[in-house]
Amino acid sequence: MPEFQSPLPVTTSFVPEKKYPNHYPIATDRVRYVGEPVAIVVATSKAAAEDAAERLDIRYQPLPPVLDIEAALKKDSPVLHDDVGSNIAYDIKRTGGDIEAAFRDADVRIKQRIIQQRLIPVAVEGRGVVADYKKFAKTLTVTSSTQIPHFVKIWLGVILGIPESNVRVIAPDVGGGFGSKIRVYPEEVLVALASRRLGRPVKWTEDRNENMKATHHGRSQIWDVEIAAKRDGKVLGVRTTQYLDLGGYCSQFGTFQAIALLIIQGPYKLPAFDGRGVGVYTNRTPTDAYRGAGRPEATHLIERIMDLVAQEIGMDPVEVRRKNFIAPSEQPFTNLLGLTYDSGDYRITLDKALELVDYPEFRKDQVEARKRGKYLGIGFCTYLEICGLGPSVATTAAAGIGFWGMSVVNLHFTGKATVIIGSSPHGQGHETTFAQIVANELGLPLEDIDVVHGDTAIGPMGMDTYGSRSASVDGTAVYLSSVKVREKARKIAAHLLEAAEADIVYEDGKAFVKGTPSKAVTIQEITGAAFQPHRLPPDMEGGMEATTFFNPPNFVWPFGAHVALVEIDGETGATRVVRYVAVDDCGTRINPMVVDGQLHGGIAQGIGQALYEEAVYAQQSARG
Amino acid sequence: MRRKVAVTINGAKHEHEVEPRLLLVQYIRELAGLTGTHVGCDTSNCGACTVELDGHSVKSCTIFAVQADGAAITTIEGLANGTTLHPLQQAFWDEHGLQCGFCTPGMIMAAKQLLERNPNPTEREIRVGLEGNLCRCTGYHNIVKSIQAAAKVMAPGAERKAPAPVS
Ligand code: FES
Ligand code: FES
Repeated sequence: MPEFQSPLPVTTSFVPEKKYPNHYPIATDRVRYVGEPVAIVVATSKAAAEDAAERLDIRYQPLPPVLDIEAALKKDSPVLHDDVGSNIAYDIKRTGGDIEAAFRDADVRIKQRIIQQRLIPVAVEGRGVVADYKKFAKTLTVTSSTQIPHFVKIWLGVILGIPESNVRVIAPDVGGGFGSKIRVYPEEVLVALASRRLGRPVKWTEDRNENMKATHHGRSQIWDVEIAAKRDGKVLGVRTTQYLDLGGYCSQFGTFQAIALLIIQGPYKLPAFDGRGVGVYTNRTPTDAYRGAGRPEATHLIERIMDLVAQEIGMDPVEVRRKNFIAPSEQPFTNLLGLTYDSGDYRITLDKALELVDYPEFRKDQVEARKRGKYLGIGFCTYLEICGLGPSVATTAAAGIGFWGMSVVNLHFTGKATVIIGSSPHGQGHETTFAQIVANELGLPLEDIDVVHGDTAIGPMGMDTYGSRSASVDGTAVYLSSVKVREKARKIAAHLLEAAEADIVYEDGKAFVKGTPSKAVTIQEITGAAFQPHRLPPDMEGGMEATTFFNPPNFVWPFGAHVALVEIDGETGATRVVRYVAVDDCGTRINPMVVDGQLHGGIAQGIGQALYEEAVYAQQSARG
Repeated sequence: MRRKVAVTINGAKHEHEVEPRLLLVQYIRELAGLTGTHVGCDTSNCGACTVELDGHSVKSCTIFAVQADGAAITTIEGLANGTTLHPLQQAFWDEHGLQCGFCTPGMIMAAKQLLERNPNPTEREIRVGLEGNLCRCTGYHNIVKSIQAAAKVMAPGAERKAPAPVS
């Protein structure tokens, strides 16, 4: 493929024994999934392009398809990638503790297969790309509905052989992502390529039909689990295999879903874990990050384990959880895979949730209802999540990239602020939340703070938005830049007030000498002085600007307890969620409304997976 | 074979020669240049394209531009009164009724019609009334709250607390 200097990126280091065939933005010989680009048609209107596409005469030689994980793993299965030799991309182990001893000492051993069905992320805005290559200047500007403008910029440069400094990627207000816009997509490359060939701007917008097939899917995993436990409810060990359907190719962060293996332990004191991850190619749309990316799968697994043990030994599932919780006195706690939880008292959130649903009363109602032929159910989830991607060393080991946060806090002459952030939101409310951080530290009115993002030309490289990282990592970077600006303001104030810096108090956007708040200089006055060097201390540079690249020391580990009360129709199995209670500890809530909003959306998508959603492929094509 | 379409959108007259297959939503976005009306599916599922046409809320991806000839259309851009937001817009802001905001113009246009027909809807009536509008971000919870809040402000006889002007 001479047009491409490189195939599409795959982040591989989490699974070193990888076998990833080159994935080019357009099918070269074989088409491996429905949704893979095979040709580009460029026209002056959507309708004309669709007419022309219909006239393309593309002949396919049908090959036997591989449509699910189990089929792909069969010895005689057709092989998707000849150069891989089988449909297995990787086969890895992640272990800790003495698993043999756990099973030897167990009173009960339970086996279970758990399916994480294939889901389609369905952001209400599909993907859209406008590329404009300027032949003379050799610059490429791409506007894309993406979560990762900075990554797209780098990879467009690499794949198309354009110096990175000549590529600008703009992600304007993006209409939702949920992980589905976390990768460099074939279409971004192809639209840029078309613009370079034609020397004029080219636009592409996917329709919903294309979105369902070509935008990556999520989950699509089979988990086999064996549990070793004691009759008293203690879980001794978990042996499990995650079979992950990568789809036709391994997507950029497809293997990230194997992070589940690192955190299955959750908030429990599990003595032994033996995990295996197998990545499998099938003729389906590639899978990649979707709402939690591996973490909900881990939570679901360990929570099912608690329930299975409860069922097997006839104990209340709440008790089983309590028996296995890590005690607050054991925090910070290093889990079996070497990750250290910072803090957490998992009993508090659970107790609060039980109180809210009046658990003893519910159990009575449940018995009564059953007598009347009504089925009431209750489900618990006492999760722990690895968030805040993340510390650079740890994330390099886990995801192949060292993450960090970036911010610039830049005060203008009149004391208004522009805040550039490294993350690239698409509905998470960063403009509000991050402005609050700056307002809090500098005492500026909220409306004087403009948070900008999503344009690689406005500031240094950022790490974009995914992995529950923005508030904790980029938010901290914003905090640190604000503190740097405040410290500079204090120095300037000391000079203006002819006082020692140590005597300066900074409060609510004003600086004054301790004890004399009436003679204060405002941040606006201080900033004005910052742009007039003659008013500054002799050894100080002008300007009121600070940049921070923040490498967090650890992930953050929020946790909580969710309880669902459901009513099930005994005849049809139809399930209705009657009540849902969530008690979460995410640390300090910068904007409680935004936090609640994120929870509402996450819960709705979770209920969606539990009760309503699945992407199903017909086992036979229409032609048989 | 092109045909002439003349419509009024948010009080302004627009006239174009269009292909008969042009959807009204494309007309509004691409010819009238009003991109507040969104396309989330173009198959009548999501409601992101909802506009008001001669007093009825319609999914503009499901109507040909030529069918709208002569009609008066209101889009999300036509709701605010100068710098004062429409009570529904203000309520969506106040109650955090949007996250990515992509579904919001359609939600608000559909909610406007809902409140015109039923100024004091129950929570259930709001949920049922907005069945044709999909949101993937909010779980609908705050959308319902927003519409309830707007209903209070818009109710006949309600004392209007002037919303903050937009700067
Ligand atoms: S775009 Fe019209 S209903 Fe979705
Ligand atoms: S706010 Fe994003 S789809 Fe509704």
